Amino acid sequence: MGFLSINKILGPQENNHTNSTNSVTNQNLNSVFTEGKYNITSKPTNVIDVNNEEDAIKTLLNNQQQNQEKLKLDREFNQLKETLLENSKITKREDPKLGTCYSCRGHETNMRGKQGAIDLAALALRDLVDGKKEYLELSKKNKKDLTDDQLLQMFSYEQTLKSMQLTIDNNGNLVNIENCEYSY
Amino acid sequence: MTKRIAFLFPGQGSQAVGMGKDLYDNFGSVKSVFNTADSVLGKSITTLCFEGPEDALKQTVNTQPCIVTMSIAALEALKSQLDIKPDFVAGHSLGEYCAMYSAGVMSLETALIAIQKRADLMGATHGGAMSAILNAPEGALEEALKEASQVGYVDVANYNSPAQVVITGDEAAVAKAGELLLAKGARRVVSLAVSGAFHSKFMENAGHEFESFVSELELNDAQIPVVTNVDANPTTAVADFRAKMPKQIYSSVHWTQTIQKMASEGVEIFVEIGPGKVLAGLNKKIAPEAKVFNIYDKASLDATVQSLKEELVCV
Repeated sequence: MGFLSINKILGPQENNHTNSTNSVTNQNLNSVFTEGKYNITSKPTNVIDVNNEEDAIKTLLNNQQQNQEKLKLDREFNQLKETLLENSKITKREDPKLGTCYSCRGHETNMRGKQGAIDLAALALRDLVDGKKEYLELSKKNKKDLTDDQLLQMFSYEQTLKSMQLTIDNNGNLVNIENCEYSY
Repeated sequence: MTKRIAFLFPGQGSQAVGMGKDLYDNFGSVKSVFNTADSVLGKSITTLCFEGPEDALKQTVNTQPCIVTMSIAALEALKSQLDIKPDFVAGHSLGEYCAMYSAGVMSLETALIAIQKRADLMGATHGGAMSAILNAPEGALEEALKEASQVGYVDVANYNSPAQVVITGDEAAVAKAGELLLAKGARRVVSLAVSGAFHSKFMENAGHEFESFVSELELNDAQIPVVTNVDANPTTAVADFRAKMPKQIYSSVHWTQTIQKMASEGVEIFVEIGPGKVLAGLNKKIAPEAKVFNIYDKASLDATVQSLKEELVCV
């Protein structure tokens, strides 16, 4: 038998990137760093060639690592979505031209209701969570060493942060601007 | 009757690379303050403020003189645009030196020399940790500190607002208090990147050394009451400043009580002068009915001057 299902070793692979209870999909709006990223993790290699044991182990470890990273991002996103969006004040205002509007952390929806406002903001939040690692790596570099595309990526990320009224604190966490200003 | 007004000056945590540059490019009085700072302190405060690097600006020995220089420069820019005398002044921790300068307690040179000495002493005192506690339920703080005291020394460094308190002390005790507070329902606990445990007993030696330094400083009685951090009381006598300046280094900063005191004295308008908008954010939690304006660059200065002209006309 030349092939072995990895599931026999690891059990069923978790591939719950799109949470059934959450209406955010992979079709991100204004994607910052995430374009193509999901393709890497959404199709784990389920079969490996046991004739090349070293490669098999590497693949296995790689898949495990990718899954762990993806789960970590999912956890961070779900936690932020709950604390930043669902618990936040969704404002409702009357616009004479548009009718009833809801705005949520800088993102406005027209006639979509509170859930629509949360969903739209969640799309941007997902981008921020997924793109944070790359953004932080880029931000450590000298701007002169960055390509135009990288500068644009950083600008786009920072604009999304700003529009969401979020920032990244000293510990690398996405937080409310109001909640990360300390005086001591 | 005109509305009562207070000037506020920010503390550590408000610094950012680039602070003051816009004001420097637009106002001669600001240039003069920065040039004096460079000359008096013998290092380029101007470069540290405008270009960083951030790692250097974040060092206590640099942060404190840089923030004081920038805040005093912003105050001078305001004075060049508007003839205004506040009813009270106050500063958060190191910001108290700007408040004292603003009240006529000390000259610019004295303020710079004093804050550099304070920064050197505090920066050289290592050990301990600090954490910001956000939205702790009422009563949870006292319980957690009491329980964590079994692990080591821990105390409150800053009563910043009803929603934000900074704790200070032994690393293990601060960590333990943080865990307990999270368990009791605090929204967040954030470790602060500081060189030492400010406003704690770790700083007592620094405070005592500062005491002899302060005794030699040329100080005056205040022309405007300074609401001081250590007790939230309006202070004008020079002897009181000499006693409170060293004590402030190792005592809790009663910022919430400071703002509450001024609000109770009828202050309706607060102007935060210096980098960032941290104090304005805290003010919204302490005295939400009061108005807060900021001055940190030319645009914010122009907007604040315009608003103050409208607010301070006789009503």
